[in-house]
Amino acid sequence: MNCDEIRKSLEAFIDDEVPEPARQKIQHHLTSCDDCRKQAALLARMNLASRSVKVPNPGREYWKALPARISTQLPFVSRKRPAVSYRMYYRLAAVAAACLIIFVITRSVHKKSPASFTVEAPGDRSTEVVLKEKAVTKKPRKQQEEAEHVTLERSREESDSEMEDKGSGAGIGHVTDLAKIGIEEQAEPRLLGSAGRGEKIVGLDEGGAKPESLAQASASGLAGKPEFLEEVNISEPEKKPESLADIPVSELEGKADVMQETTVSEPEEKSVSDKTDSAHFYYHIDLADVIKTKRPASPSVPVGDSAPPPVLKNEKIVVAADHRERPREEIGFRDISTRSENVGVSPVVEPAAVSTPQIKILSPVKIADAVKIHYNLSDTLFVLQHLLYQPVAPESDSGAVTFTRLLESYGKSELRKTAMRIPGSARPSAVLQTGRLFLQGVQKKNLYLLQPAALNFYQREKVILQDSLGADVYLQNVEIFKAGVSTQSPE
Amino acid sequence: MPTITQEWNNKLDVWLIGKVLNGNARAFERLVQKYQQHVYRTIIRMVKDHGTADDLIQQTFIKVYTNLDKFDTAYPFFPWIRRIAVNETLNLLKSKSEQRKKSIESLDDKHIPVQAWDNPLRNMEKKEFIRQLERAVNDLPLEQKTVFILRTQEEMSYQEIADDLDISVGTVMSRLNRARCKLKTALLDY
Repeated sequence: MNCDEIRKSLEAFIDDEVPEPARQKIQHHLTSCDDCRKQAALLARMNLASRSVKVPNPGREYWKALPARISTQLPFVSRKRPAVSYRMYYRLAAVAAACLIIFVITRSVHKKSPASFTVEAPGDRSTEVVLKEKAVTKKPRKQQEEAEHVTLERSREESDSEMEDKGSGAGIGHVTDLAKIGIEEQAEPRLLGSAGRGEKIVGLDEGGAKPESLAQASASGLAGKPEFLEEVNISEPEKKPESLADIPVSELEGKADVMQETTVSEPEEKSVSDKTDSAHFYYHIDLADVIKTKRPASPSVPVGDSAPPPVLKNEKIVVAADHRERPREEIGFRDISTRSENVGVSPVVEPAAVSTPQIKILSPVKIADAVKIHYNLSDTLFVLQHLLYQPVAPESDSGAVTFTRLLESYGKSELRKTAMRIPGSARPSAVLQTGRLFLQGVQKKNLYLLQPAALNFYQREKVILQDSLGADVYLQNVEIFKAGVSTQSPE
Repeated sequence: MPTITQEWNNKLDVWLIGKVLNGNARAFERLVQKYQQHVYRTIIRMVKDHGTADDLIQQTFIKVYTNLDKFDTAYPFFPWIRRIAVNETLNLLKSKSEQRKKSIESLDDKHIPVQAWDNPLRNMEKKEFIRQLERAVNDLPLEQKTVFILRTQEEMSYQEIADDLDISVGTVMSRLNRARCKLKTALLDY
């Protein structure tokens, strides 16, 4: 190549845009040609000088305020709910929890009783009456009254045949009397004592008095407005499981290929994945939601093959896939990422898929080691955050060793200093606290990787760490994994 | 080949974008927080004025937000934002050509890095060289200046510049060549 040809591609050479064979030719030429070398040096110097120009930094306050300033100009702001403080969230959560408790108590009371209920009439006679709620279709008033009349007549005939003492005005004559005292006089039959299943009504409510008990009131509310009373036999309605805990593990087995998100507090939205393994059962929690919801008492931890998975109330539960037939080392980030993609709740972290030679590793310990070697401490800590939430079998070496190694390698003070440098990490001690709690959990051989105490700690302290670019990656964005309800190891 | 950190960042971006598209305002603030400094640097290098850069960065992110549903998550997020930022900046600079002359006055010593050189004389020479280069770059026509800044300061490849500016790689190379020729002339004494 002569000098003209070289100079045509000299800029591309300096800009690293020349492919390898031509690059070597140019390099070779530059070693022997002073003029071209000077040209190349000038170009390189210009590049370097241009790169050296620093831009003014408007300051920390500017960066802090900018996101909020921008968000106020965005269209979604007008649609946004009014700003509510976390304290407000807690209050709302408390009210919601109270409502939930009342609802659960009411339902549990109802469940214990049969589907029918007994109306206890004066005169020590009782007749079983079962309410049937008909689909409310608005009939013309006259037609409705006729229907009521026919029904009441029929009821009267049936009850008359059972009655011996008609004059007492009691019993279910009761239905007859009901018709007399209330139903016929009122346009719509009142549902007296229309309590939920199993509720006893003490005394009939003549003249449309208000229900005396909470059961009456709530049940009448629940029952809606039945069009008329009718004696029917209804079978016990099919009982739906209220939570994952109610689903027998045997039903879950072999059912989870794709996991689905489910909320425990809302049974109708719940779905269980197709192939869940009772021996090795994972679920994770979107803590971003948990933070906003006050957590009730810590869940009990059922242990044993037949025990159902533990359920944390008011938290989103995601049933994960079956890993029984896979080596434990492969259960790492890859599976988490797959699951995350499926439910779309968390960033995907997939070191195993990165084909950089030094990162081609599977075990969490090796990941941390590699990161420690090839990346800076911030990145190592970032990895550590993920490692802390890996499903861990107690006998396996996992994050505990990693954390110990980190402490040995960097020292406590260095770890603290680095944590200080991570934007948003106002509490560097939280990093160490994380490790400490984690170690405790592993040492106790508790299969829960994240202890309730740790979870509470994070909620209380609002620990948020950020990655080197300043985005939250910890606790709010990374789902928390809890591993294993059985004592068996994943292998 | 993306590094492990890049992989994470990309995944995190995708996740945040998903949240934004679901109406999560806080997630968008996170995105802004994550990229604001990068975007600002890109803009300030071209406009040299903080006030203008401030306006532009806001416009950029608003445009990012309004077009977020068009972003293909198969690609990295920052180049897309940068492309918007560059286009917004160029649009502004084209409409206000007087902005181009504003930078020299705002340049002062504090923007020029002082390297830890042993030789104070060389240090001064270098500072002077950088200052002259800045002036010369500022005097370049907008198209050449943009390409030069994107290549040398943003360290973008020819292909990336071509993609961002919707021009061919050949055009990028010719603009760079013309810019460098002018700069060489301006820096002849150095």
